[in-house]
Amino acid sequence: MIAALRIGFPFLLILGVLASPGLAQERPYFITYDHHMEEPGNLEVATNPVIGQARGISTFIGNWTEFEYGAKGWWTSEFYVDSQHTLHDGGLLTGFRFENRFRLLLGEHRINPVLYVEYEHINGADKTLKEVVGFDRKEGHAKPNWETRLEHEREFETKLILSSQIKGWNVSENIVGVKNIHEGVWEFGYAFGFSRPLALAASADACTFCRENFNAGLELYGGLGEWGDVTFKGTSQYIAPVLAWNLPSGTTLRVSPGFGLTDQSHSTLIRFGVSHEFSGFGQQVGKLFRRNRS
Amino acid sequence: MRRHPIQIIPTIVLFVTVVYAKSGAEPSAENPFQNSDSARAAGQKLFARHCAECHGPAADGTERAPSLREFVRSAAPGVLHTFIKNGNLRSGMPSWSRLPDAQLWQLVTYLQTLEPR
Ligand code: HEC
Repeated sequence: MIAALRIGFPFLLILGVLASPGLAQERPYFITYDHHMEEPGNLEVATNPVIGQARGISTFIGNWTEFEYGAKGWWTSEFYVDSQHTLHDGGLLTGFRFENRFRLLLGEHRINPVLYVEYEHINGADKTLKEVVGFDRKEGHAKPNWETRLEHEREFETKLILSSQIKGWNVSENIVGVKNIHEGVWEFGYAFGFSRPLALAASADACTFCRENFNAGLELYGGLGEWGDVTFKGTSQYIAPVLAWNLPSGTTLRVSPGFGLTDQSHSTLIRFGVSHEFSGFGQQVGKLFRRNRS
Repeated sequence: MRRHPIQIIPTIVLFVTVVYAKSGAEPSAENPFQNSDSARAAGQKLFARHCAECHGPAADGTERAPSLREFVRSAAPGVLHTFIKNGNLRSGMPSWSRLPDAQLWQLVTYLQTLEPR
């Protein structure tokens, strides 16, 4: 956690100097993806801690810090650094992820498919619980960090994201497939979310607390077993209400108390998120390089 | 080997999804906020928040995106609404379907009061 902050802070400072804030409307979900892409040239920086609790397991804080960049209108790239801190144990950086999302249909349709591909290099101590797949169980988080950090996982992950806008509601379904590059079979998971702004029309005056700035919804996510044994049973399942608050300054705050639905799940996963959008980051960096060349 | 009837479900789901997705969004109707002053003010606020970073605070363009002052006056409100909702992802105009229809109409109301320069 501390290590992640140490990396994140100077980055934020540079960004603050380089780019002016943008003012986006962020999705409220933590786990589910919708079809809305980052605006081209903009960079969003976010940090998302999760507090996990279950009987027989030391309480922990997992965290991912993410940098999301709009490469094109139809293509968004993200880089993540994961870390964790466990009570009575300690903290460490647990790895990184690199992901790309591509809109498969350019126009707006009733269902908008997005292809997601990710490479991740994390160790067994990772506690972000960002992807719950296969036969995920909380006991995986009971072992001490010195032991789990030795398990290296190089994984390829892919998602099919389907997302619709229906009368102000967003409804998104994600099917997740994860494969360890060196061994094992494909593991599956899912995420489903719906959300809506608290007011559909904007008010005429500048306001921080008006209802249109809040977006509320619900997420369901969990494992789906593996190749040859696809099932909801014997794996973690979570239900989590979500609430996002888009501040006029370009910062978004999010919170989501999640609850485990099966014996394999953690009893609670409380997630927080702070994100900030920097407008025109790509253009500013481009200019910097051009200036240096001339 | 006889196929279990349940095996056909994924095929049906896929078929319905494709047909549903292909059918597209319904065409937009009239602007419900035509000539409303409060909608114009709300539209101006939304513009400053979501669009000015590319189109400029006065909508007369920046290096990232063109001026909107010529196009928006001549365009029918429904066409403008549909364009903003879909964007043009290939050329860098984002899709604004994340904003509810009411807010898109508020934006249209504001944009159509802009004078050409
Ligand atoms: C990331 C930058 C960006 C943002 C943010 C953005 N636009 Fe655009 N917009 C563009 C670009 C680039 C074009 C040119 C597209 C083209 O050539 O087809 C464009 C074109 C347009 C056009 C058509 C103009 C014409 O003459 O054809 C309209 C209308 C428009 N934008 C409205 C909006 C509105 C309303 C918003 C805010 C909700 C917005 N834009 C936000 C980049 C942006």
